Amino acid sequence: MAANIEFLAKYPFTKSGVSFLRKLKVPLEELLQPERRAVLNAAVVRLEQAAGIKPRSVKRAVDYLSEFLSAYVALWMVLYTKNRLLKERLADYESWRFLASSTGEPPDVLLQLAKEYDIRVAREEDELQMHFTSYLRLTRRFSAPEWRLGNREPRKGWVRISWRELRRLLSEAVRLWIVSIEREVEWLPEELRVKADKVKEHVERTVKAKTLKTRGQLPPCVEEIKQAILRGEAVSHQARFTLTTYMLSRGATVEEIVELFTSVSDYNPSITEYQVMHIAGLKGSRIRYRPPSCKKIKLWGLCPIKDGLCRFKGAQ
Amino acid sequence: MQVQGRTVVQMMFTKYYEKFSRIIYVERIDAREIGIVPFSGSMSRHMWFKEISSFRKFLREETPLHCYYSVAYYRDPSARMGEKGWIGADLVFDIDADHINAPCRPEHTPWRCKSCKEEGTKEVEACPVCGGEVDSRKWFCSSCIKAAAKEAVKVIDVLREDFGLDDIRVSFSGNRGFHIRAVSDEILQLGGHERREIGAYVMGEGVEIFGKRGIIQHIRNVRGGAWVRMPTVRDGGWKRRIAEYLLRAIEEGEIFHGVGEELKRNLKLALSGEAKPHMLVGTKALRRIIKLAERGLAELGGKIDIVVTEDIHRLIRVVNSLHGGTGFRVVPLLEAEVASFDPFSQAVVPFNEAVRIVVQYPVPRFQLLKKSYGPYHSGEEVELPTHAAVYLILRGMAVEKRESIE
Repeated sequence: MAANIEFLAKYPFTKSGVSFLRKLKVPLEELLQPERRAVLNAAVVRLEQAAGIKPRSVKRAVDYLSEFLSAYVALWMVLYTKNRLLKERLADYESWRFLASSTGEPPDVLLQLAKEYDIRVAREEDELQMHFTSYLRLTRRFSAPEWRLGNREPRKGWVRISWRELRRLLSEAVRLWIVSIEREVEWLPEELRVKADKVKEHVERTVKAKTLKTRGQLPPCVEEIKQAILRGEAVSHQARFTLTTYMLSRGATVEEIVELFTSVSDYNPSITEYQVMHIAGLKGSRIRYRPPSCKKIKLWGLCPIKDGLCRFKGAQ
Repeated sequence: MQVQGRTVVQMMFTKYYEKFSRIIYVERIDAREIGIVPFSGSMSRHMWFKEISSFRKFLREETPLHCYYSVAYYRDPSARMGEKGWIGADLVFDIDADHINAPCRPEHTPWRCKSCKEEGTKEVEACPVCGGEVDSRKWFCSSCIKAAAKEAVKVIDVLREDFGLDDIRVSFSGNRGFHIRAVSDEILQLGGHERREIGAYVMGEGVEIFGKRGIIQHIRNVRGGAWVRMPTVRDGGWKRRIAEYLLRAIEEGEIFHGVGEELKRNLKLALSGEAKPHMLVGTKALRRIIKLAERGLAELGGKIDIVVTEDIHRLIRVVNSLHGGTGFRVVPLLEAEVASFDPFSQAVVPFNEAVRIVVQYPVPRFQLLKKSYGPYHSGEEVELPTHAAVYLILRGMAVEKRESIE
């Protein structure tokens, strides 16, 4: 199936999208022309939605080509700022946008999209399977138990998934695609530079790292998780659990911990607050969870000490 | 006769490499990092050999105590760590009898009292003479290795059946366990996180026994019980393994007090896939089934060292080299040989020249090449064939008796 412009406007961050863009060879200056202003405006809106300045929406306000181009202009604006946090936010937003746009897509389109991201899927009648190598790469960040391979039924290397799950996994592929872009954009038209810097400042302001009131030094594993979160990285569920339980045990309040999580790209205030309160035993099961043991932390791959010489060993 | 400056261990290793270096093999050695521990000095890493013949020559000339190769392939294996240019890595599993609590362990745990110096070879918590603290050493027997082999067989089954990995190389580690290496382009580029998840899967970590997505799938509660979907032998992954485990338990009469005959019959049909897997089970019976399934998961989970599996730069022992902690050969094995492998006869390289040693630590009775030795007490002076003497010396249980050279 050849990718048409309608497809590319919906799914700009694909192999087909990149090759289409290469063929177009649109100079940035040309976007400043009055007839192309729609692209710039749409790009700014896209970025503002990604940064949380405006509410998210997939409603298309421009033609397909402008829509497609606006996605890349927004990306260039982010790359120009060299701000990792903003890149994570854009990646998270585009992943969400993909999920929203792909609702109701027929199986053939979803399979084509899987090809776009080199994801190995196989369809046999109604059954859909993903190769475990693709599955593991895409579920890396997923914390819900149903995504753990142990709760699946891999057979001869293939994991059965539903069409709904394929969409979710594809949206993660979009996120990974954007996060992995290392290219730098050195020049932008003045107008876009100003806008990009403004959005960057907004993100930095809202996620300003707060120093938690903790007594003494943190264990290296907890410190590393905390730093990763302050850098805006989307760390694993186990890492978040470790940080939360440890901070609670050191007397941090729910509000202080929630505030720390404001820097992660997938931050959602109400979900974060509920989860921290749940771990603190204030909601749900009313069980107050204790920090995991060193053994668990090692098993989860969160122990940064390789020589076993940790002065916090066993301390909880 | 003693040659000054060269120990019996060094002499045995030298003779071994002079005679057998032709069987040393490292696939794609030109893309691997080689590491060695010499007889004196610290470990050397970042070594590179273009061809296996030059590596064999090196072994003959240098005779290291330990030698390793990287599971990773590099563009420039001799460069510093961050500059090697990682291409990919085999997927490895390390099974060590040390991580398995074999029931025979209390029978062979040498100890010495820190206060009164009393000693023995069977496990004690405190000195039976003075009640003082004891210093214990680890010791392994054929049963310990059998327990490790059982784990290796489990891991191989998971790799084949669940992950579809067919090119699997197994070797005896040279000490107390096995190395399993899956070779495939498919897994070459997996990162540490993905490898850890595979390791966790092999261990049964994170598998939900009962729940909405559990092995025993909870559908809905009813008064006095619940509708569940039982796992069946036709399922994949852990569901199949637990279904087989529960079936065996029924057949062996282990299931269960308080579970009626009719339920057992229905359960058997469901587990074997001969009837619908959906069942209504009473609360008490369900609790027992869940408990048994949990036990099954703990038994069936492979006891691996997950840190090795997740490490994409790991060095592992070169096949057919000698292990510097035992003097045993790192033996490559066919899968069918793993379960019956006995390192105490198959990994010992016979060097029969007699050597006198002084025992430093209580040694339990042991067998090498079908011949029994020991038990020995500290201070005892004994004459043993070289391979047995080297084994005790490298285990830290004895020292070579050196005659003075006048």
